[in-house]
Amino acid sequence: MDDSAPAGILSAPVVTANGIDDKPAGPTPEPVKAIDVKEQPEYKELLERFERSQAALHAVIEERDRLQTQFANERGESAKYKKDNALLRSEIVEMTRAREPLREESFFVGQFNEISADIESWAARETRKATLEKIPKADMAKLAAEFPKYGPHGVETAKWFSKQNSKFFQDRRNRIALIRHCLAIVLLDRVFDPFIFGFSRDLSNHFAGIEKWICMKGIAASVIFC
Amino acid sequence: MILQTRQTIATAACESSQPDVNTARESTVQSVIMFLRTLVPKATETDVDTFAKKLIDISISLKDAMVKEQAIYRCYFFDNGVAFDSGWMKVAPGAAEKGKVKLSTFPGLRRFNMTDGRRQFVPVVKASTDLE
Repeated sequence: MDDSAPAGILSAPVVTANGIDDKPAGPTPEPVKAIDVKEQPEYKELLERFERSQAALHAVIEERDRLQTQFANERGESAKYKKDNALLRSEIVEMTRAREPLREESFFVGQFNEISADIESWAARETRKATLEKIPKADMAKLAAEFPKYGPHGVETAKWFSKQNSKFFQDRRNRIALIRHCLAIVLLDRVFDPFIFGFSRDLSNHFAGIEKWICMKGIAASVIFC
Repeated sequence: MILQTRQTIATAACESSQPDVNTARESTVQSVIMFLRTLVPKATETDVDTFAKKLIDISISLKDAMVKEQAIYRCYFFDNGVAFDSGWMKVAPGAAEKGKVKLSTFPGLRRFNMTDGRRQFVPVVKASTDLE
């Protein structure tokens, strides 16, 4: 077996009785050449591979961040579209429903009669509570001035009312009839006559005109009217 | 098709009137309160206010339903002096159906009808009248 150290490898120090002799025993080895690892082609190759991998990793991290942002945005978009979708569905349902008859005629008859009966019973109950007195002259004048504000029927009522004696309304039956009549002209002028409740008279007349044309002359005529 | 078109227009117009509804409601309630306080001065304020609000709210609700329906409903009314017409008017049970109108006590309700090629309004609820 060859005990000599292979080239390039430092010899082990020799231990003597006095201590350690730095000088190795045997023939003096050749001086060890310092190796610069960084100059080694393998190192360079490894370093290049490492740098490439690191660059690739950075690219992957950037891509991941971009995808995460994109995902978050698209999730937001998706939620928005889902909401829009639900809204559109409800609109479609609403539009479909708007083109169908919604209620039986008996509903309208019942409600209309109920309102009339409510007014009659309220007036009957309230006028029964105490003896009716004549309507004071000032109130007669106030009512006469007020009626014309409620459309053409209000104007006609004012004409009729101004000819009446205040004693006439001391009679309970007549007073109830007057209460019902007053509320009727208010409901007629403000709620039931306008094309839609809340519309001004002009706007109401305009829509009523369109409706009349549609009904009398058909759909095509309404386009000309508009 | 005609009634569907009208229904679509009216439904859309109804949506556009929403901002004005509260103001119109309040003004109508105040009109009813004014008449009731003048004609029934002994009724309590609470009774009058509660009744006026309830009356206007159910009337608006009915009007809204009529507007959105696939039919055309209209109210009608008779002024003092018009001769009694049993086709369009009614009187209190037991009262004679004869003479001229003293006061109409509630409007009538009619519906636009398009059967048999004829386009006309037919009465659905007759107007309530008190005769002279």
